[in-house]
Amino acid sequence: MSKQYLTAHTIDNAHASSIYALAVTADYTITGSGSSVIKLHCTKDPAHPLLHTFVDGHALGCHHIAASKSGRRAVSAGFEGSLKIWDLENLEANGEIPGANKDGQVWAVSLSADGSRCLTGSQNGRIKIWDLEKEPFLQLRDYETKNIFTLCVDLSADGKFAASGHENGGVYIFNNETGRMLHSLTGLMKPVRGVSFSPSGKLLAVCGDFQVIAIYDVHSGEQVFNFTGHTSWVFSVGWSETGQFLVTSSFDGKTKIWSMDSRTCVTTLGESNQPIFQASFLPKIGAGERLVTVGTTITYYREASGAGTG
Amino acid sequence: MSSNLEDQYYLELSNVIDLYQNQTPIEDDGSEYFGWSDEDAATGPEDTSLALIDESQFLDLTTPIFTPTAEIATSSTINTGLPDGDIVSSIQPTSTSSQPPFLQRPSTTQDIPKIPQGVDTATAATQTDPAVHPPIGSQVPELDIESRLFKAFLEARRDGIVTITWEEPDNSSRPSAWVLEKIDELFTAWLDVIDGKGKLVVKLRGCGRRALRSSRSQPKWVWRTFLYPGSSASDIRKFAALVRLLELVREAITLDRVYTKRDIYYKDVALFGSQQMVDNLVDDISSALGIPRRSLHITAAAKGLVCGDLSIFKTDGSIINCNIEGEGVLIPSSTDIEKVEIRDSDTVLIIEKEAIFRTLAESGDWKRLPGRPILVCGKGYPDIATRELAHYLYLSKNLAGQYPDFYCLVDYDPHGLDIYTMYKNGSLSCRTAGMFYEQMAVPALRHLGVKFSDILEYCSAEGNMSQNIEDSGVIPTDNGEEPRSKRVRYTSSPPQGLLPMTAHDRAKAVSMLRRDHDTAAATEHTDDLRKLLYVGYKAEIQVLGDQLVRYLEEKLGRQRIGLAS
Repeated sequence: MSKQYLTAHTIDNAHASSIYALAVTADYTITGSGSSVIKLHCTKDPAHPLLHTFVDGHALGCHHIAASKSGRRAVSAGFEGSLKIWDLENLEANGEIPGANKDGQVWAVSLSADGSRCLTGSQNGRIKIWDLEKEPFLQLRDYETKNIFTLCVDLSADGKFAASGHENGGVYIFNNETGRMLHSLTGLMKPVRGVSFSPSGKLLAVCGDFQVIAIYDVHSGEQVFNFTGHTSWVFSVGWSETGQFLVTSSFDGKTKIWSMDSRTCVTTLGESNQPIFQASFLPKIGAGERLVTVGTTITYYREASGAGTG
Repeated sequence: MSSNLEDQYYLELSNVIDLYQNQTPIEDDGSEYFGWSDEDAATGPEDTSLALIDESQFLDLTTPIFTPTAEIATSSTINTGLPDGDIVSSIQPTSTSSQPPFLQRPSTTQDIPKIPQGVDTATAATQTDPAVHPPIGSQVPELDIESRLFKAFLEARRDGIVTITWEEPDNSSRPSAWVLEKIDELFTAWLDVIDGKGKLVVKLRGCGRRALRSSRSQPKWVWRTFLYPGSSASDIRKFAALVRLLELVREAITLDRVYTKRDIYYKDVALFGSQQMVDNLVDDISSALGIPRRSLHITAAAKGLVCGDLSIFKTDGSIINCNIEGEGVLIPSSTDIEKVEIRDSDTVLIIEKEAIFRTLAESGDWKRLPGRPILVCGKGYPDIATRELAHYLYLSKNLAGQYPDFYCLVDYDPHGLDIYTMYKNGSLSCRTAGMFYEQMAVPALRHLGVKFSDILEYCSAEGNMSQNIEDSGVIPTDNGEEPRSKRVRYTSSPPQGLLPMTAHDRAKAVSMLRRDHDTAAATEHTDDLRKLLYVGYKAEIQVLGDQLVRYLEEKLGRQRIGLAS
């Protein structure tokens, strides 16, 4: 079974340099790049016009952005090390988390669905959860791992679990209710660049330089199965809203969509060999899936109508 | 000042002006300076004197170094009368007991200010005083420093402390003979103290190395303190090293020879201990004297290599043909170069690594590369001679009347990109010191590689990007491909030649981003820096392995097509 996806829209000169960070809400496609600004394009409109620009983003550029599913809040991490909070309802800066870098500079960030909890992973492997509801932002959890660079983190939709992926291949799942590590997932020995909980929170997808997409059961910690097919480092992994599909993007410019039902790669996208740093499904409107990828450009794809029946 | 000091001299020579620091290869700048006390010397009066710099002095490269001037003759005819603010007025006894055999001591009173700041620099710079140093060859024909020093070591210490402060205005146009005088003058003063059984403290105005590297601020002066007799072994060694180095400078000037810093280190390995110590001492002495390093008859060892269709005409009339099979030619100092002549080449390829340079030079592969490039190698961070040669080439046309194109092949890591920007924009430390950095830059330089995309393109075919998966148990997946094990183990090392970014690399990259992100020429290499940080791998040129020649052929060829179209 294969699906056909078409390029719906491309924004060529969205940023002056490579785009590293992507977060999608129902309203905005938020992108961060080597330039100091963070841009918000419209997600719904097929023309995806630029709606807002946060001009005082990160002076040296921005490498990670996370947005809450509710569309309330976003958090961005910059190359200079700062962590900024953005209010997406009023489109204004909402300060920084003071002391976020105290025990090691933050690299990866994630937000819970309602935007109240922020998960950070630092360059020395400290995983922390912050309460963003009221200032001062309190540190709720502080997990210490093996002092290995944290490349990616994710919070489950209900905020119950946290996952982190590290440069040495370490993947950890934490139970935020008990404040303990639930699983240390073994078997991966290369940098883990993406961890992502399924919408139901039962599965965890892991990708990285091992070029395989590994699917773990969150409760048992067992590797359920894996997808193979990428031939370069895989930078990001994301789930569709229903949990039916996975999207992964790789360094060689390929974006792949995988079906959880048939456990196959249903389509491969990518015309250039420029790295695709992030890819994400868009919130579903109508029948077909839509997705967006960032690298040198922002590119939107949509499912070809009538092809989904396979 | 305590009254029990027997002798208290202040040899205040003048105010701070500037120095000619950057004859040093730049890699010295990045290193830390161990073992010396760094007292901050940046005080108010010195800051004002910094404003007196006439930058045109630095721009005059043609000033002859060895031209005998009338200064020596002048010095011998200067009246020993002491004009106000003259250098000598600061040499003053604080006590008249136990007079050391001093040549001629101004009998001024104690209430003269110890350090007369604000001395008219013009006066100080042009006057040398026979009271302190007699003309060379007459009164002090031979200074047998080592034996004197040895004798002094045996003497008992007494309770006198003498501080000699050594700083000079900019003397960059002075002849070496002046340096000789200056050293003798210093030695004489020291010996007087030592003979008088005083405790000697020498304060040398050095240049802060960190300041050279950082930001666009003015150079920061620091005081180096030398004690004699020292209270610890390291004090003693420091002082001995200073004396030994000055003696070697003296020897070099007297014999009209030029020593490399490496030579000097090998003259007394046990004493100097490390090359770093020599480098730093040389910098400090040239800083304190306010002269370029070449006036001390000291150069850096020739480091850069060049190979290609190029002739270098030297000022002494000899011609270096760089088209020698099998090896590169050491790049001579720019002061020795009359002109360069490019023949058939229309490309210059600057290479960071010596190993890569040698591979291309020895195999003769460079002749077959597009554009028949001239290869230039700075062996890491380039020294001044290498950058100046690159700049000469940048200004030269080949026989066909074309200016050559410039490409740079460096490691894909923060230091490689830093080296690229150093060739392209000149070094930051030169800019800091207000030097003629534009004379050492190649603005047209283009970054050829290595980049991640190159690695993908040239190494994936070699299997570097692939991986081994050990099948240990068969739980097939239905993804239409061959069955995989449930538990998969992957080879632990990144693709061959790729190395993980270390914390040091990351810090270097971030500091470079901070430095360059808002400059005009930034976009290209800052984007690479961010990519390095994001991806977390760096790569060396060697990642190309035996694909190197094919890589260069295709990349250079592509560039030429790109230029033509």
